[in-house]
Formats: sequence, C-alpha cells, structure tokens
Amino acid sequence: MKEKILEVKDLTTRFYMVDREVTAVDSLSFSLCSHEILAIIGESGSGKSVTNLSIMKLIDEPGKVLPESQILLKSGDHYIDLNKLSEKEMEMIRGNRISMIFQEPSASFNPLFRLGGQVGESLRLHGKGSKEDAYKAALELLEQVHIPNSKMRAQDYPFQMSGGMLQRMMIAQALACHPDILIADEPTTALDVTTQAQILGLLKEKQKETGMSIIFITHDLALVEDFCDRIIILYAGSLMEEGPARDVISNPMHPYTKDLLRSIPKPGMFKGQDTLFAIPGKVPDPGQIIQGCPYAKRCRFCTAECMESKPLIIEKNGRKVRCFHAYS
Amino acid sequence: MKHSIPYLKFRRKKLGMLCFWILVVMYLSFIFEGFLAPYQPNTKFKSKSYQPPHAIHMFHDGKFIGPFVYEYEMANPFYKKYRTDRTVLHKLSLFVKGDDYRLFGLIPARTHLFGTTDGEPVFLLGADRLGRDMLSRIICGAKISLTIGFVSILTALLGGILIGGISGYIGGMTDWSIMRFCEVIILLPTFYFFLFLRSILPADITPAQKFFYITLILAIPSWAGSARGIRNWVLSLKNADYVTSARLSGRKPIAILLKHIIPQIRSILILDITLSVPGVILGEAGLSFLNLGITEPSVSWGMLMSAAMDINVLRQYPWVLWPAFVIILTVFCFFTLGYSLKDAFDPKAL
Amino acid sequence: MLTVKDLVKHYPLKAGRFSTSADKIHALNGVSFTLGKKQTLGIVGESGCGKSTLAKTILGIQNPDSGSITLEPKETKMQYIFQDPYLSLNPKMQVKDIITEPLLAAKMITKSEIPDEAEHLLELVGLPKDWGSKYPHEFSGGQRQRICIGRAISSRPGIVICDEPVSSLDVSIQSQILNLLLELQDKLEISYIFIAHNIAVVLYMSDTVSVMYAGYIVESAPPQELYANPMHPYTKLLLSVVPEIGKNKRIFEQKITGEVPDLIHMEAGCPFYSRCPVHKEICRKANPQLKPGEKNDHSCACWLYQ
Repeated sequence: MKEKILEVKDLTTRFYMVDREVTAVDSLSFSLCSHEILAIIGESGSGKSVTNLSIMKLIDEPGKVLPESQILLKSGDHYIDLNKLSEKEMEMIRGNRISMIFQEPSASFNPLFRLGGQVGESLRLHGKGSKEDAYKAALELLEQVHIPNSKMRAQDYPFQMSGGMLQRMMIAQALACHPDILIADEPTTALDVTTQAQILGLLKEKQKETGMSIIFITHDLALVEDFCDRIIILYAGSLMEEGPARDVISNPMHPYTKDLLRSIPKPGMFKGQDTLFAIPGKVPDPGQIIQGCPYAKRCRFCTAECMESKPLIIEKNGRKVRCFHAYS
Repeated sequence: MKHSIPYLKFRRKKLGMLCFWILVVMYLSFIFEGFLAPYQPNTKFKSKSYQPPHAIHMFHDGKFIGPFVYEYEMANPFYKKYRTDRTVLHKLSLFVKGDDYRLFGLIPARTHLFGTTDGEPVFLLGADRLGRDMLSRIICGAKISLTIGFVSILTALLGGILIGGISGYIGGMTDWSIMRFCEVIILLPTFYFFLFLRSILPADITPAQKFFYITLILAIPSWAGSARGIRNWVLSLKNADYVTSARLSGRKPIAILLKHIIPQIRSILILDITLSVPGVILGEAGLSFLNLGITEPSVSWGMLMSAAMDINVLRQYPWVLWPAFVIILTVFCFFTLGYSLKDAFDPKAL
Repeated sequence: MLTVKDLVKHYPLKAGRFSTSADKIHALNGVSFTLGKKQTLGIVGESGCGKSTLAKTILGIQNPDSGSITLEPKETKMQYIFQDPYLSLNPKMQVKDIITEPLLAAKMITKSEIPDEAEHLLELVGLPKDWGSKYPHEFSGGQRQRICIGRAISSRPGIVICDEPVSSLDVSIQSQILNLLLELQDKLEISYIFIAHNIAVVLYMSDTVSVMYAGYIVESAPPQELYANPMHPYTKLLLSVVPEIGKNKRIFEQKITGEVPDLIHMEAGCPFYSRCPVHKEICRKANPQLKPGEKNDHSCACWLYQ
C-alpha cells in the first residue's frame, strides 16, 4: 500500500491587487503518494505554478494562502501542516525535504559564482557538511546527472553552459539533500525537443533510484501520458479532473480534457486531410468573476445548470471529475 | 470611470500624495502671490529692521478679542533688539487693503489676504535688515525658484530627446561619439561648471536676461544625463517587435519615432522631470546664495539665503533662515513624489 | 514566387568596439529553396539551427553575406508574424491603428478610411468588429495574435513569414490560430513560410517541410512523405522525441547522445556527425550535399543516401 507523503486540503491562494482580487487557486485538494510522479496540467492562469509556490510557502505580497488551507507533509509517523510553519521552520523543509526545479535554469543560478559551489550549496545550508564536503558531494552529483567532464564543468560559470546542461545542474542541485519530493515546474518548456527527452529520462532515472516523489507541472498533456502515474487537470484555479495518467488520456471524462486532447496537433495530421479541433473562446482572465462551471462558456455540453452553479467534484473508481454531465 | 493601474497605485502612496498636494499649493501660491503676500517684496519699513516674528494672540487681559499682534518696541537701535509692548496692539483682519499689485501680473488690485486694520506692519516670519517682510519675500521668491527648475529641465529634456533620440536611432559611430561627449559633460563637477559658465556672462544684463541665462546654465549639465537615458530607451525600443513590424511595413523613421517610441517613454520623461527639478532648484539656490545668480531687486529663495551668510546675523536673527526650510521642503517633496511615481509606474512593484 | 539560393549569413563575434576577434557564428551556411503561390513551406529545427536568421534575412532586416533572394513578381509584399504577441503590439496604440498600419504606411488608404478597414480586418481574423478602439492590454494572448495576423495580412502580402506563431500561446488557443492561418491562406491566396520547433505543428501546416540543422537544410519533403519515410537521422530523431498522445512512445527512454552543435567552431564534416547513431568514416571528413532521393520531391543531405 502506498502511503500519502503530501496531502493538500482546500488550498486557496488569493492575490489582492490594487484594482481587484484574483483567486489563483480555489480550494484545491490532492495528495501525493510516495514513489509517485504526479502531473499537474493547466494553461496560463490555471493556478498550477501558484499551487506549487503555495506548497513551498513562496507566495509574496499581495498574494496570500488563506489560513484554512492545509498542506500536510508526512514527517516520521505524523503529518505537519506547512501552512502553519514559521518562515524559519519552512527553511528547513525547502531544498531539504522538498526541492524545486524551474523552467528557466539560467535564471536560477547566480551568474557570478562557479556552478560547482552552487550545486552543493544546500548541503551546507542545511548543516550537512562543510564547504569542502559540499563541493565533493557536488562533483558526485554532477556525475550522477551524467554531465561529461564533471570536474571541469564544476569550474564553469552558468553562462558557459547550454540550457540542457544547466537543467541537469539544477536537477543535481535539487537532489543534493535527497528530498522526498521534487517539484518540477515546466522543467522542459524552455528546452529543445531532443533535450527535453533527455531531461525527462534523467528525472525518471533519478526517481527510480532514490524513490522520491515528483510533482511535474506542465502545460503539455502529450508529455505526461507514459511519464507520470497520475494527472491533475486544472482550469482557472479549479481542479477539473484527476486520475491515473493512462486512464485520463485514453478515457477523458471532463469535456475540457476531451477538447484539449483533440486540439493538440499530432504528427501524421496533414493540411487538407485532417482538421484540427479548435476550442472556441479563451481562458478566463485572472480575477474575472466566474459563475457556474469555469469551462461552461467554451464547453460543447454546456447546459443551463452549468452556467448557474459550479459543479462539485464527483469521486468514483479512483477518478475525480468536476462536471454535471460526467456520469449522465 | 476606470482608473489606470499606475494611478491606483499612486493613490495608495500617502506620503507621495501629500507631497504632490504641497507642491500644487506652492505652485498655486506663486500665481496668487500679490494677494497672498501681505506686502510687496521690496516694501521697506525702515524702523523695523530685523524685527522678530510676530506671534498671533487671541486673548488680551483674559478677554477674547479676535486675532491680534502686540507692538514690538525698539529697545536697542544699535543691536536691533526689540521688546514686546503689551499695551499697544494691532488687530488682524482678512482681506485688507494694502500695497498696490497686479493680480496674475495684469489686474491692478489692493486687497491682500490678511493684514492689520490700522496699517501697521505685521511680520509673521520676521523682517530682514531693511525691514522687509520675510513671508512676503518667500512667497514672491517662489516664482523664480520654482519656475527656473521647470523651465531649465524642460529645456534640457528637449535637448536630451533630440540628441539621445538621434544617437539611439542612428547608432554606430555617431552614437558612440555622442555618448562619449555626454559622459564628459556628466563627469564635470556640476557646481564649478555653473560657476565657470556664470563667469563668462556679461556683467550688465537686465533681470529678465539674467533669468534666461541662469536657466540655460542650469540646463547644460542635465541634458547630457537625459540624453543618455533616452538613448538607451530608444535603443531597446528600436528592436521591439512592433517597431520591426512598422519598419517592415515601410513606415518612415520619423513616424516610428513619434508613434512607436516616444509614447512608450512618456512615463520615463515624467519621472526624469520630477527627479531632476530639485537638483536645478538647489543649483539656482547655490548660485544666488553666492550672489552669482538672481540679485536684487529680483527675489529668489537662494538670494534670500545670502542674507544668512553672516554667522553673527544668523545667531541674532535666526528667522532669516526660513527660506532654507522652504527649499528643503520643496526638494523633499519633489524627490518623494518622484519615487512614489516611479513605484507606481513600475509594473513589478506593488 | 520566392526563390532563395545559397543564402549564407555569419555573425561576427565581437566583444566590443575595439575587439578584433575573428570568430563568427555560422547561422546560415548555404540555404536554398523555392516557394510557390498559395503554398506553405514549413521549416522545423531546434534553437540555433538558423531558422529565425533565415526569416530575418528573407525579410531584408539583415543582409545576407552571400546568396540571392528573388521574388516573382518583384513587387510581392512580405509580412511577418512574431512569436510573442505581447511584444509585437505597441501598447500605446489603438487596435484599429495597429491593424491598418501597413496599409497607411504604403499609402493604400487614407486616415479617414482607418475605421472601416479595421472593422473589415477584425472580422476577417475572427474578432468582434467594434473592438477597434480598444488597446492591446485588453486582449488575451490568442486575441493579440489574431490582431498580429490581421496586421500582417492587411496590405494583401503575397508571402507571410510566421516565426513560431503559436509557441507562446496556451494549448487550447494554438489550434484556433493554426486553423485561422489555414483559412486565410485559402481565402486570400497567401504563401507562408511557417517556422516552428514542433514538428507535429509544421507537418500539419505545410505543403513542403524542410528540416534545418546547424544552418543547413538537411532534409526536405512533402509532410506525408517526410512523416512516413524520414531519411535523415536527425529527422528520425525529431520524430522519435515529439510527444504524441496515445502512442505510448516513452520518449524519456530514447537514447540521445551529444549536444546542440557549436556554431562558432564548425568542423569540416557533417554537422550532425557527433550525434549521429549511424555515422560512417566519410561523415567526419566531408559535408554531404542536399540531393534528391529516389522520389524527386524528397531530398536529403546524408552520406547514407549518396
């Protein structure tokens, strides 16, 4: 039986802007099991990145994680609520029990320092060794993420590296303290397709080796089918569908998921022969007041009910779906 | 009406708003200077040399009789020491008739905001050596001190836009040479540069000419800074996608500059103005303080300060330092307003 | 309609005004193609393959070091659609002025005709026609890209170059924009040069697909042919790593060696040599030329087929 390592309950994050309030994440609940890769999928404004920043307690003014939100992290045989931790206690979690990698690796390294020192930094910060120990560990980590000539490359500065190599460096940095959870926020979006495949391979390999759990955030549904165990689909800050990756892709239940799958161009579709399905309308603006189902305006199956009230999540057979018509 | 985000952000800056309104009041006050000031700046009361500020009283012998001041009696004519005479009092009133002046420089008028009913002088901020009212002189000095800042910055900015725009748009060797020249100008010690420029001016010039020349002198070092800033903006905007698009469509360079580049830097220009004006006000004050800028009979704050040059005068008659306070307040308001605006325009700041 | 021959563009690598470094970035190393009327040439490649340089050179934003660009007829207009619709619209201009700018610049309309023309163009790109007096910040990314498309087609250009027109848009919006481009091509008889890194998108949009690598076109074929019978090892690699729903491709298990090519220190042989799983001795020594294969419209630059 897999145990839940992270449980998020009713996470609501709201931004208080000068001219309006924006609820970026709206009472989102999900859990992450050990040894699991969970994909969070959404478009701009879906709240996928805010979710992960909320977990890490990295939401700054004017944003706020509402106090009733619970982010429970398994610690020994009990759970601690990250939302109630002080900044100081949270520093012991970040980079240590939960690590993050980002879309832009070049923006995550200090351009003025050599990479070797930066990769092992978290070991030193978390009191797991001296500067020399950290550097030695860093060299080992670079080897583990398959950086050729790792001893030489450790002496390099960030600008001397290609995007793919930097992303490897960032993964090495994130793995330094053997975290239980790795949050990967669009780690391959800025990379070329060939490099993307390499980085995904590396993540999968490390996950198998260390047994950590990964929250994989992306906008690309095609990427996650065989890479992830479970998928969460977000739209306008709300969970739309959740389930095992393969099931969701092969048998989508929410109209949004269905439409999304049909609108992604596949190799083997040609002009004049095939017509790509286009979802009408646009993603709701941040802060736009939505009555009813957030997807109602673009939905092919929309009824009067959908416009009036927001459907609740129906949980059945290990799948969750927020739609009135899912089982009818 | 939907307000823009910068406006909403600015409205939240309490101190910035306060400074904005203080400046508005200052600028309005020099438009109504003749009316607000109780006397003309050069009206002399010979027997009142260095008279201390009057305190406004409401009660005489425990009885309420409305606002009035006690008479100051000359106690020591040599050292200009005064003693309050509690038996003679002068009642104050609003809208009294006094010196002739022209409202907005046009309409002849005699009514002043306040004054004594019996025609005896009242000095709320004290009097100077010749018995002139400090308050009136500060109010009238605002005209030169505050306009000189704006006029010279606008002149500098015009030069900056022209030179920076050309430099950024043409690029290459032209750009390189212009920028190195700007750097030389920026590197010159500003105040000595003012002094040097002032020294080459002819001595016998009218006050109006003097105002014009001083404005130009103050503008010279600041155009270089503006030119550099504007050049950088033009350079980065020149490669913006929408500028490329306009070029591809065959738009003329001048149309691109006017339609696509200048509108983007409007907020930068506003910031540049608010943050540069105080420097010029201080420059004018410095020159006038050294009697190299505005001189009698014109009045400016820096010129008023020159009366405080003598430490003995300052020790005995501290009220001659009032203009310094007004200069500090103005400079502070401009800087605070400038930085509040900067935050408001910055999309990343809260 | 457009013939490009042996286009070469090298950028000198200079650190400053007084730098004397002779190093160059070899962005384009002899690119040739033709584009017919109402046709789409798709160009696919990874970052640094020279696809954006190619676009800029064809448009005349940059001059090529050598090679020729011939338009037929000579006065054919070209327009450009940028990748990021947030950067390519002037935030201080009203949409009606933006969308008609090329017309005004070419003196095809007068100022008084702007509102009518803007209404027509907005309708053409699927936006409400009374939105002309709005400003760009009131629009979403997809709507902005529609405005960019409207601006590009306003002066009835013969050729529109689309440089990654959908890669910065939301997934659910991308297909709208792709379909709009196809629809306009049909209506207005435009030719496209469609540049993207996503091979699936390029296959869907094009009549001919050219695969670029390190400033060379390494393979060129109609999309159906390219998809069914890829020849160049790089094309095969690209097709094997593009995510595909429902195919269970396990792209993370692909064996991919090597790194993106070094465009500064180009060596003699085939640029793909170091990453090629099937390279031979000759690949290191000489660079293969783009040559037609068995099928006439399918050409490939690889020693395996020469």
